Amino acid sequence: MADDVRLQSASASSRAENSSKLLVVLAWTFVLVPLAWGVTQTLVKSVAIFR
Amino acid sequence: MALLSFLDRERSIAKPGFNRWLVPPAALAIHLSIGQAYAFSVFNKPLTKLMAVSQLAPTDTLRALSQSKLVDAVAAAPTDWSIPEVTWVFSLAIVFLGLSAAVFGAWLDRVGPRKAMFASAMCFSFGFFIGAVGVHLHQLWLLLLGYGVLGGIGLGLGYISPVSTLIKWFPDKPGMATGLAIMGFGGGAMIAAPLSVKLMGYFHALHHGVGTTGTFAALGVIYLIYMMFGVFTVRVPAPGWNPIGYVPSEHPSKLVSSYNVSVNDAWKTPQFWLLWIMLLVNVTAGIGILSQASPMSQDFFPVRITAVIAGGFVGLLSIANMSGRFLWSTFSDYIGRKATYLVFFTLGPLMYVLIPLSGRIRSVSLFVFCCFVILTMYGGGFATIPAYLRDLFGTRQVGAIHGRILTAWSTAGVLGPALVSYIGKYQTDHGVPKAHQYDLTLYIMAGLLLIGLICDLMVRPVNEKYHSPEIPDTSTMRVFTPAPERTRG
Repeated sequence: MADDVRLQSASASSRAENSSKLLVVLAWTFVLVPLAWGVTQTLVKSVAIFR
Repeated sequence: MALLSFLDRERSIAKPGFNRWLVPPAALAIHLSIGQAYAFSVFNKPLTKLMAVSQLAPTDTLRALSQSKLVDAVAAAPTDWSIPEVTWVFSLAIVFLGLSAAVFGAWLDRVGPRKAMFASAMCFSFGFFIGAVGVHLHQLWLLLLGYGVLGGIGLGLGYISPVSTLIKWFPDKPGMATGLAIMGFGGGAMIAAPLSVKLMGYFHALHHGVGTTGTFAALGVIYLIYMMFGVFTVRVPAPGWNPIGYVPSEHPSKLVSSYNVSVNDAWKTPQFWLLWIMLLVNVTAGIGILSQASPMSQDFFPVRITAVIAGGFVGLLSIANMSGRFLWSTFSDYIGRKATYLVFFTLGPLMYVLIPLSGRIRSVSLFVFCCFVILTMYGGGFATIPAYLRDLFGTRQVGAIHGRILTAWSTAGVLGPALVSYIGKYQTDHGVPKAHQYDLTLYIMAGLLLIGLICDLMVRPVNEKYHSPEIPDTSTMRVFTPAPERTRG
């Protein structure tokens, strides 16, 4: 009985950790995608100086 | 009321299991939004043609012209705003950024980052909405009040709101954490500039006009949503929390204080004013390059660099500014803040002196390299200052102290361009050839950085008489403090 509770607890903890990691990935994607777009737009315009 | 209580500091304390790596994206969302301010210049020309374009007949020929071509082709009407009038909007916003950061810093430390971020989002977005009404009615005072005053307050609140929270979440790498957020302020313009141009093109095609009213309103909505992500995501660590496995150094630098200094006492210390001068000279010198980058590149290399290429070069400097904010502040976690500023104030003057040489030997590569390095250090100076303040004054009121020190930025915002234009006029009046007109300015900027070097060398630990009597700062003190919550590092 005690082992079952421990297993359930460990499983819940593992799920929480996975969802937390997913949230971190989503949050970083939300901020980095627009930034990457802006940097790309800027880089495209600035390559002419190296030609 | 439920929403207002959600904004309380108590409601934003992280629960067990909260991943601290969620906090930097929340901070970035705020800084990427308010970083739009540096792209305000894309509106300068369109805002000076509002009346002229509205008086044109909406013929197919005119509608076929793209928004930018139309704005270029049409002469301003007598009732249109002038460029100096429009540039006041940005200047006012920067002045209110510094003022609000200084005035509201202590309030922010009291109420927590969530309420401050919410207030920032409201001010910044409603600044756009009021600005849109001002543009629609062609009332400059509404634009100044909306974007300049209200938006400026939003900028100041947004700029400092995540900084102290990040320092508390990352006591092991405070430079990197604040650099991540402040990097967003440098990067925000790179998103806002192309986005604003695209929106103006869209609203120009949709309605007859320049498209700025619709663009202002749309940006208000976009930034409100984006900043709300930061409001809902940000958390503060529980009191006494430290990352798992984090052990403060046994032999910390003498400059890293284990005690807190209140914002009212920080004012009275020489360290505060030394850092204030260091920020002032670093920003003034950076503005010296930023404000002249385009004409200087064309005058140094008249055949090689055209106006279009110079525009791209300025964009490249924005990337340097942004990346420097993250790289230098992260580097400061390893070599220390004082050493980082020593690099800025020794490498910087060398770069400034090399720029005129690059023009004489016709080396575009050397010119671009020097400007790039200078702009990384310009951004690095902004991003490393919060961690330097934390080292000297502790974490308790670092947000408020950071807010006060940003008055140096506002001062440099006025001093830098004034100095550059005065020296430029002096050189022109004395018949100095165009390619050599920048030399004196650059040498003066190098001299300013040497003043910063002296200030940095003079920085010593804060006198004990300024230490607050309450509990020392556990994030920098080697004491056993059982973490109340297990939170992944």
